[in-house]
Amino acid sequence: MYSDPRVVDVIQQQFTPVRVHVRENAEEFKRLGSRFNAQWTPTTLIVDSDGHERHRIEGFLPADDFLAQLALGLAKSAFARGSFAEAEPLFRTIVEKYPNSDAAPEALYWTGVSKYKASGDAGALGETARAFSTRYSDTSWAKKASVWNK
Amino acid sequence: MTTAHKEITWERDFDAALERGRGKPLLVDFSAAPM
Repeated sequence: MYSDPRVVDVIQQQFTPVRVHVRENAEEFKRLGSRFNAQWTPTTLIVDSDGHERHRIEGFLPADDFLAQLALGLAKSAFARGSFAEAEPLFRTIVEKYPNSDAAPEALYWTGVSKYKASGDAGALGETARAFSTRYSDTSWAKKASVWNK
Repeated sequence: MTTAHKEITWERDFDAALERGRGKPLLVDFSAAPM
């Protein structure tokens, strides 16, 4: 997944990439593996500048799915900072750009939550629940959103 | 004609990368890939 030029561009432009290698950097792997409870490779973490983990990707993914997960991590970071108006379009773009990825239904759920948190308009939650009736209806995220469908 | 091969420039020191900041989140790759 790191050989795809789109992945290289996103990582170089939007992240500070740090590699912790199980053999080449064994002591660091042990120390950081303990700190972040990383027990398997590949494990990819998105860590905010305050040192908090915001997203975790375990195992290999094809490039498009990996790109969707990276975008999900950036959106979650904005949400965790309380930047809900910034987070909403980041989540929404994942649904539009990677509609067939596993990240898409999770991003749709958090699009609604971010819109609600930014605006205070509970209608955003109902709108999201209705969106799940036409797509991703067999996912756990649709179940979680179903409570908003009134 | 050859196409330029793009590669990620990985940092090795987590603490230094975190301290330096730059306003970007860290992408930390726990890897066993061939170096």
